[in-house]
Amino acid sequence: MINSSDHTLPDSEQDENPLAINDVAESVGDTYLSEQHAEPVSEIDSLVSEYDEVTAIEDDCSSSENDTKLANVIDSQVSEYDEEPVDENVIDSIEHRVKLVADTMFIFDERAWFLAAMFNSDFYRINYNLNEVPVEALFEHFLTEGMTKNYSPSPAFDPVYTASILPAPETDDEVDKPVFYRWLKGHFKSITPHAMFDADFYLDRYSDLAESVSNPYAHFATTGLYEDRIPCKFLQLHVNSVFTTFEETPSNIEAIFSSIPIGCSERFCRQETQVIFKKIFMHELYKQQLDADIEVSPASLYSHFLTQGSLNRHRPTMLFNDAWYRDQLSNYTSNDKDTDTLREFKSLSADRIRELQVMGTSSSFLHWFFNGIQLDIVPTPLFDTDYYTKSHPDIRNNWKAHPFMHFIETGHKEPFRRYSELFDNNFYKRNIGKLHFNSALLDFTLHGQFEGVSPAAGLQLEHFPAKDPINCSSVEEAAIYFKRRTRKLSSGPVANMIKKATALEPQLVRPYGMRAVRMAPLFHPETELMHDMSEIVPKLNKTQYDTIILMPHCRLAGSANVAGQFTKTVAQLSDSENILVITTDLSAFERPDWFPESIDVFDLSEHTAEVPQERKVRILLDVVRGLRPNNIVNINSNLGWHLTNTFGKQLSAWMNIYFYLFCWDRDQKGNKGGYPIQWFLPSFDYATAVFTDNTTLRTELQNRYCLTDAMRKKIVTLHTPAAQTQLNYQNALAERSTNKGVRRIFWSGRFDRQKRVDVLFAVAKRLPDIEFWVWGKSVLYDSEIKMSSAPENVRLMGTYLSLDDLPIASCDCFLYTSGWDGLPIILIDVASRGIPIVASSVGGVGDLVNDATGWPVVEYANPDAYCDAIDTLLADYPEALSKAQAGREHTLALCNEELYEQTLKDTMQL
Amino acid sequence: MTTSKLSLGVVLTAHGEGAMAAVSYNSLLEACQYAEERDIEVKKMVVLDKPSAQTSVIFEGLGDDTTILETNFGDQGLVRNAAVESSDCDLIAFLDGDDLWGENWLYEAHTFLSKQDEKTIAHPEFNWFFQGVSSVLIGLDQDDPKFNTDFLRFGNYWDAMCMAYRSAHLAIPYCERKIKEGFAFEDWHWNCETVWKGFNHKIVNDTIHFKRRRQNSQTLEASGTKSLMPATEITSFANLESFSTAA
Repeated sequence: MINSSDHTLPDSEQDENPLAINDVAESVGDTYLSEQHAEPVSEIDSLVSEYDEVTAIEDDCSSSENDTKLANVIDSQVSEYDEEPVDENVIDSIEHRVKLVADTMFIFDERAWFLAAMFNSDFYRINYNLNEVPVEALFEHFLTEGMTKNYSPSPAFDPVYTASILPAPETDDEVDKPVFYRWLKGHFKSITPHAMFDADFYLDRYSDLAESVSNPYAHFATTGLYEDRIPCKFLQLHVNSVFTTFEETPSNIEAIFSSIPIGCSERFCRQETQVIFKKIFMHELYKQQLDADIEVSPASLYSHFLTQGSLNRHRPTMLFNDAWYRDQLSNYTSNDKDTDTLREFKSLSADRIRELQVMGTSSSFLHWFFNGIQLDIVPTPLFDTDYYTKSHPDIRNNWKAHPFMHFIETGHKEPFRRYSELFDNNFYKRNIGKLHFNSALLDFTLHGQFEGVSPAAGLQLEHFPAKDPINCSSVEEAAIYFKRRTRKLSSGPVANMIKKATALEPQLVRPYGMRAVRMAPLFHPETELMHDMSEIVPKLNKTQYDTIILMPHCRLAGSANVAGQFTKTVAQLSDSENILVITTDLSAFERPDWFPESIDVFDLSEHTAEVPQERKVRILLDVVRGLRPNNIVNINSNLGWHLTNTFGKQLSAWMNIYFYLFCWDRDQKGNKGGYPIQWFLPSFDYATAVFTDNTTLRTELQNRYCLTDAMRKKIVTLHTPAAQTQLNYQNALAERSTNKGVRRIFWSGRFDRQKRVDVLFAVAKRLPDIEFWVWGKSVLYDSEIKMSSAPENVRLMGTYLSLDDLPIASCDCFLYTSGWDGLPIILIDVASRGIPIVASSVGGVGDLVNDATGWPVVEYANPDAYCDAIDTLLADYPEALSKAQAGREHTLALCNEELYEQTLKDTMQL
Repeated sequence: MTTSKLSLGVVLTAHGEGAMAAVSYNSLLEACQYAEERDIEVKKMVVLDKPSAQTSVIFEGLGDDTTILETNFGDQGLVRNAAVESSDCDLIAFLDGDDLWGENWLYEAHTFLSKQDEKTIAHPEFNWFFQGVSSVLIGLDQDDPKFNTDFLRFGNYWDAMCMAYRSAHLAIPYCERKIKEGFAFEDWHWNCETVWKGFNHKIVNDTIHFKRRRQNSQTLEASGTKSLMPATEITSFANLESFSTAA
């Protein structure tokens, strides 16, 4: 048996060796960069458009100092190599081989010795699947069989390249001769049979050979290849780059040669091939696989890949998945749908397909690039040809080559391209927030998958753990899983049944094109909902509540105050521990003191902030359905309105539904809008009752929609109870009757469009001798009025927690200028304290402020009307206090806790 | 026929499918033949529920080996319940009047269920959707570690074209579909109820069903109108614990 050292002629033989010939092989010069002999591959050719990119590596790698450093290392290795003993007792000895050559080829000179020495049995056996042939018989196999099939005897011989540069046969007899035979017989000295060997370069680089070696190629093929001697400038540049950057041992030249699929040496070096490689090479991905914690240029990383990475199965690009490619290659059949065959039928003979399927000593990436492409194998599970073409009409209509070639060339760098159902660039970007790398796919592999971010709606990646996340990420694992599961649809008994069923119903295979795959709960539109709820349900204190109250948030707003009052009352009337308040629209609960301590409060909005509206509704539906309350009450929850608008009919079959309405709104065009306008009609039919906080809105709704008596009774007014019934400012304000100093008016509210701060300022301007003390803040920020433009007699006092903390006794009356309203809590608070009021007569204000209880201003946008009312009020302050006292009594009678409780009890049957 | 084998009743339900029901019936005949050739007794039944004239014509003059049952429910679930009541077979398999079975479905599902107890329900490995959509749903076995009962609150794992013991259908009949009230998905509901009551939904490997998705199909109509599944214990949070305990 021959071992690796047998590739080198023994030193003792070299001097007398017939190979020590004087003929100098004709240099092939730069033929490996020539296009003249190229085999055109249309897909690859179509990709080439940016030849200029290939210069980067060359610029990085041309250091003579490095060459010297490298040569020293090589020399030390060469000397070690030469000292290895040769086993003389093997059957397959050089002499035996020479004799076989003489017997079969009738070659008796140095060429016989050359062939005997250059034959690489391991290379030959692996690449031609000859495991069953005894090792000692491989050489003879080549002579008698392999040569006739144009097999290559060594990584240093490229039969395709050689055939392309051999002169045309001169005799008929020569036509049928194998390439190797023709070359050895007639062109051994004149033609170099491998595109990556440059004789001039070789002799120039290795001066030790200049005098002793007359056929540099023969030396390389028999000796230099195994001494890691660099055969051409192209490789030298990359080898040097790696050596100087990574300080790793020099590249194994035999391994590099062996990694290039047989017959592809010329195409490998070709400029356009290198352009494509660089286009798809992802240096960030590659660097992640090295333990190099140093700054490395992309060009050096690329050199590392070419000379070492492809041999070590380092992944050069997200577009290539080694395991997937090997699986596709071994399972390849010419009509296998899983291989994403070209739409245009390409005829390949069975023998040719078998040849292409053998990976042999090739690196899997290079094998795919040179061979797998010919089989139309897509080397990543994350590219779906049908999906790509269906999603992009430009490719469907105009691209003539395989769509994956488009993806390689430009598609993978175009964020809008859709290439797999399992990876949605936009979805991923939305979920990850900020990309750390240019490509979403790369970002996911290097970053997102470790953050648990899914790249497609409904895809639950926890079911697809990645053993080697860089080489095969979790989403690729998912893609492989689904492709394997659906392989049955393409071949085997299930595929046969599809064919039979299609004979019954030809529509069965339509619509053509991409067939979406779903599997609950791994990849299904509803899975995200399940995922959302799996986080929400454990955070609920209980699994069942009797009453659920939906509110948007709890900020300093009247509706939140009402929600607190409503909850307190329901808690008094029922089991308070069976009440749940859910904030649906915003995470804010600023006034927990407005609510009983015994109830549960749950912030749903915290879990739904990033969720699309439709899914928010489904989440709330599941919460409400799952908690099975008897009553659900919506107090200004926008999501709650959406819920009942969509599912109110069904929910009403399971529970009582109540709505709370306060007032309509006015939009920028002055038209009415808001919940009573938008949601009343679509939800009213499913409501058990609708609460309003004032009679005006109730009457308006009853009349607008011409409700029947039974329907009218469904609208119930709940005047919010006054919070303090004992506090009366009459005595304190009585002193203001004799006040000869400054008159003061206080105003309190949101500095928003609704509250008409503009009217307040106009009134203040008209009454310059009166001070206006103003409390409040902007909440909606929708007013065009800047508070900085306030007249000099307006003092901005900030906000307060309790009305009773304010210096009300220093003021003469309360001014309210709202443009529309329900029955605001501030009015109840002020009126119940016996304070004189001038207020716009809008919405539910009239329930409290009338001519007997205060000074209602019908022309609510007219500053002069307010001024008149204020003048009248101040002109007779005892009369003002008298009206205020009447207002206090009226308010306490109307906004009464007992009345509120009884009404609620009757309506909700608590 | 081997008397020790379980008898199999196959039920095609049709209403307004017209000529499409003929395709489904041919699919049923092929699957029956496949099973009968393998020594399984099959009793064929066609239930015409408020059938259109075109649908009725399709099934006029069928041979004696097919029982024709006419109903007036206008409701798929109730139709299936009536078919179960009328059948005397051990196992029942349903086929909707616009869908198809893979040829081996009856044989493989029957063979599978014959080795299982009466609380097992068989489903195909694949549901192939065609015409209106182009998709494939891979079935999931209830015993698969990936199975999650919670998903039933949001989506349906399996459709009604299952094969199950008649006793299962008698124990848990389909609910009425009330689309006007906003409720549909009687098959989903049935799956929830059966899971809740301890039945086991299993996948039969290498089997496939073909589901036509017409623009005006009832399923699409139900989805479009935002129908919900009727109430079932599985949607109650109070019952979640029992599942996690069981798991």
